Amino acid sequence: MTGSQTGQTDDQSGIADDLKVIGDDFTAEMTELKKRRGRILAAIAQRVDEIMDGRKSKDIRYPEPEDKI
Amino acid sequence: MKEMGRQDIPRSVESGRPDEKELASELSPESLVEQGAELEGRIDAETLKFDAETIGRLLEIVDGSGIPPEVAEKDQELKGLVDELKGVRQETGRISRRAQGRLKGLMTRLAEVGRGKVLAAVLLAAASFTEACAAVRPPVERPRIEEVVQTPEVRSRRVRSQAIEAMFRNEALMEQLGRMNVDRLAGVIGDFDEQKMNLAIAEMAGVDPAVLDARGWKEIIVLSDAEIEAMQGGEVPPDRKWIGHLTGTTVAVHLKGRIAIRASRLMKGDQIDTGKLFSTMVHEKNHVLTTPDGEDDSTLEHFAELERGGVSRSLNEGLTELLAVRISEKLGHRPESQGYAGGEFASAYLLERLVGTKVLAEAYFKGQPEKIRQALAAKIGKAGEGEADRILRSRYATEFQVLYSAPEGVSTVFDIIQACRRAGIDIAAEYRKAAQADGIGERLHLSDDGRLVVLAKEVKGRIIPVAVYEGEERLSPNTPPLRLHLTAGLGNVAAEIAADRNQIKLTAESVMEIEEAAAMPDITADELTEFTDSMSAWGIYLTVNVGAEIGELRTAYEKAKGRTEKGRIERKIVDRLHEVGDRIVRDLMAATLQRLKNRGKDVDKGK
Repeated sequence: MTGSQTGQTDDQSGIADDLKVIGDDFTAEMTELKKRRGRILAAIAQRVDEIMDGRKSKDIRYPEPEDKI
Repeated sequence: MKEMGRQDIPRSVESGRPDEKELASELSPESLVEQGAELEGRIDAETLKFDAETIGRLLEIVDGSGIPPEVAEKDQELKGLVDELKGVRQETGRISRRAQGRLKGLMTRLAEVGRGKVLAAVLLAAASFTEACAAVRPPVERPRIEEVVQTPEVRSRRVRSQAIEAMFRNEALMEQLGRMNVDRLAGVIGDFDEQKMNLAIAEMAGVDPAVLDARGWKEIIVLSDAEIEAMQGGEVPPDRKWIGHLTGTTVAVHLKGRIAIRASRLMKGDQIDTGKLFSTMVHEKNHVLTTPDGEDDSTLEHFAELERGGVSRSLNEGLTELLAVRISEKLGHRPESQGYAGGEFASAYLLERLVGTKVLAEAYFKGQPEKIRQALAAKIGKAGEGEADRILRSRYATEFQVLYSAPEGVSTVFDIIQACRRAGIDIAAEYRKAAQADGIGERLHLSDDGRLVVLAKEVKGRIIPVAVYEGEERLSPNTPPLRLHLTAGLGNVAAEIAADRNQIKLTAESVMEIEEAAAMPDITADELTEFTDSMSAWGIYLTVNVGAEIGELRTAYEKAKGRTEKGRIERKIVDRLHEVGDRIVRDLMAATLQRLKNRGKDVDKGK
């Protein structure tokens, strides 16, 4: 391998490394977001349950059965 | 994606030192471009999946609870949480764009160090980032609190997101079409505005858009050939059996609000024809809007409202396609070609010339065939509604449903032309004039004596003629004159010859039953007419495959260059069909009548 070819391979090796870094960063960020999403969805589910149970929604009038036509 | 860093550099087994040959191969510019493209694909797919899952899960939680919309809208805490979720979705977009930007920069760097020949590939890959991401990503509207309830828009978006997500997970589809074509499919499906289409229909047909919104599609399935073939041949879950009807030239099928698309049928050259996909989606959506849910999930035996009102299935298909063209035009997507080369589209197009688009749209979307019947009767004069009814109705009694598609469409064309001739309307001339101005690629030829109608259409360079010839002879004193349906087929000659045989057999049986009924001592003339109608539905048909008769001309047509030369050969094909029609009336009639007399001997053996 000539000197210039070696240099070129080094550059390409660096690019391969960077590709991996981009992929890893993306995976890590998405994983973090998935966790955040999970927490928010759990909170939404809990709030929906609360509303349906009427525990924290005294100010909201539920439709009476006769309202449902 | 295959990932590789310094720690993963291939090493020689013996020495433990880096294997230079393997290393050079893994680090080649071509390999790096490939790795970059793979990473790009992963970023797109994961972003899309994340988005679809987020919306899906949100709707599941809120809709699943049955929480009333007005309650959801008023709850500040819930609103705050949904806003937070909205922030997460926006963050996904940022992460994705950042990763793609870094990737693009890396590919540019590679272009600088790589060999010149790689440059083009690199630039192509880089250019595809923006296009692919724009096409793949679902609409960027963010969820508002009111979207928590299942509005038609949210439902439509969810169906489309799920379809796109499934496409990107579908390895067979990816393999068959390639990544860029799946991107194109996803782009059209992702952008398809179902509610905008409903508004266009509402305006055209005078119906309430809310009624249309209530009949949104429930599932969109895009499949590869391999999957469809597997469904046709192997064990299929009962709720997927209907997809097995995607045979022959069929592009898409629908059942109970669900549509399945055979992606390969949308290819034009090596690319997905996005215009065709758009009009196919409109066509299937038209079916969804006009076909009440049936009882059985496993077959296609459910009927459109017009069919329930006595309109033939072929005409219903023709109207579905015609209105798909008109709606697509209204939405700014004029399709390059129309489906249905068997007279289905042409019969609807002729009716449009006679009664106008508005009447057809109203009748179609309101399920009121009488609107067409009345408008047509008024146009064709003294023949009145009886003749209009015969034009719209199916030619076959229920037991002949299996053969519904082939002769029916072009026979309707024939009937319309004959009724117009009697009323002094040169509808064939109007058709030719309008079709040319409208860019309709289906040409209509009519013999001077009006006994032969030929429809010719070019599909992928092949000419597909279908014709109806009406003779004066009758197979029985109690049946109408014989009609011949001449077809040069859509490819499967063996299947068509088998269908011809079956048709002759059914015709023979039908005639014999009519004669037996006529011989009954107490049958009245009206009862006999009614029975004859139910058996033959206005005509006794013979379907004859003339593929061999026009084979050479067809080959010449396919090889011909230029419209003039093709037009000359097309006229020759029409002349040849006329000759064949004459010959069949003259010679084959005798043989057919003999065959009918020998019923039970050679007919049943299929000779």
